[in-house]
Amino acid sequence: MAFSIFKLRSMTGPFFTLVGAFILNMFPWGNSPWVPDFLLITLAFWVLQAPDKINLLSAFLLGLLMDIQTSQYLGVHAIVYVVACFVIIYQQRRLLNSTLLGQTFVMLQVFFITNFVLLLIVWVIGQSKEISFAFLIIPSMIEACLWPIFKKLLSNRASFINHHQT
Amino acid sequence: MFRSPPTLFNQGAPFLKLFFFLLLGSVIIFADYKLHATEKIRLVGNNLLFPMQQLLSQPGKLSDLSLDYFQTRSSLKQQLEEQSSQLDNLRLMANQAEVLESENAHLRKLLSLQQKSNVKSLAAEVVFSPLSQSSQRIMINRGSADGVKSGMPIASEAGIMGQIVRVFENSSEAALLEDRDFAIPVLVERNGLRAVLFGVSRTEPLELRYVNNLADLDVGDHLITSGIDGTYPAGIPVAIISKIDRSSENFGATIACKPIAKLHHHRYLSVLLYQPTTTAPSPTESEVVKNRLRQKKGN
Repeated sequence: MAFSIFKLRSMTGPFFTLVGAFILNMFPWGNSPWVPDFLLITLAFWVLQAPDKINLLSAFLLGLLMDIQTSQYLGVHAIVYVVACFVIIYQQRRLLNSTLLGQTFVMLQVFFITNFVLLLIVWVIGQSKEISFAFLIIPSMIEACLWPIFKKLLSNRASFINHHQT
Repeated sequence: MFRSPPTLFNQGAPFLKLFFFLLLGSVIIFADYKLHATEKIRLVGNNLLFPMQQLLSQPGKLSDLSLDYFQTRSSLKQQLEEQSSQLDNLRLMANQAEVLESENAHLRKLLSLQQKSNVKSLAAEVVFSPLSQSSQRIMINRGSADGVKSGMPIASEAGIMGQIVRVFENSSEAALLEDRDFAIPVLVERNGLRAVLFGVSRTEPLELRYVNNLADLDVGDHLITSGIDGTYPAGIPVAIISKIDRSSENFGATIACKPIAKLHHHRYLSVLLYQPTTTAPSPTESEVVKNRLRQKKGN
């Protein structure tokens, strides 16, 4: 019994920050390559820090929500987020063992792959005529630049929760 | 469970899970894209998310509200006077407009022109445009409860902006002219030449297709709706021809046009409550589906 409450409380950190990131994504940003995907960054952080709580299934479900919100075909963001999480789990040790700067460079690759998959799916479906480089490079760069900031913010939140647990 | 080693050490990359989710995702995309089977899920999700979206899109409204509350009596009185005088002016203008309208109708009859039907319109506000680089869509705050139906045109005061493609209860989604595969039948105002205008993408201008290479077209020609398909009322401005490329490499002339209405600048627009008189398929339906329907009919 005590264990289940314990676990529930440790879920609140990821839950609220992910909801917060989703709301951030919902602001009327408009249609431009300069807008990063905040949910993707937050999801990446939690998959890296707490892979037992946030896994591929949560990524998939969040992706479906994101598809409804952007009125995209259902499943596009779901696949994109699952791929992102997979790559992070694949690179987990490298990411956890490197410095913040090194981590940021690895994350740049991850975000690059993610955005490429997104554009690829959209291209295969036939919504866009070609894969535009602006939409590939600019969001990846911005998301990578935001990574240290998000990591700092979210780690504080995570330590806060852990502190209460013990 | 307690005996298993910490997750950090026991997990390799979950290839099996990845393949499972990729497969599931592809199936869902297929179901949505080809079979349109997920409208129900979308409806539920949209109903959940819409209030939040509306809230986030107008943070300025709250401050406006509080300012209104603290207005003084004198300023209200002054406002009232101004408005009543304005109302008088407007009444006068309305009377004049009535006179002009009747005169106009009379002249039209004399010329035995076809009388243009007066299309009713509904003012709507753009709630947000989705964060997606591929589609040129906007959400507006009018839905089936206000009488909006799929296929109705949307327009600003300058001209046609697009068409409603998906209707929810209190909101609906509209495709803009630039949306890929968006098609609208037009005619050239100057000489009545008929053609079809296609959307390409946001970064490229609209394209006029199915015209003769030697057709009488010039840069600066105005294109208006022809009303042939029954979806759009006739005679509303759509676009201006911006560039003509008659090089012999292509099979026909490549004619680029730019929309007259500013598609990304308006916060308010009007939905023309114009009932489509034919059962033409919506422009969002993909070519594949259309071809399959045609084949079925052929069999």
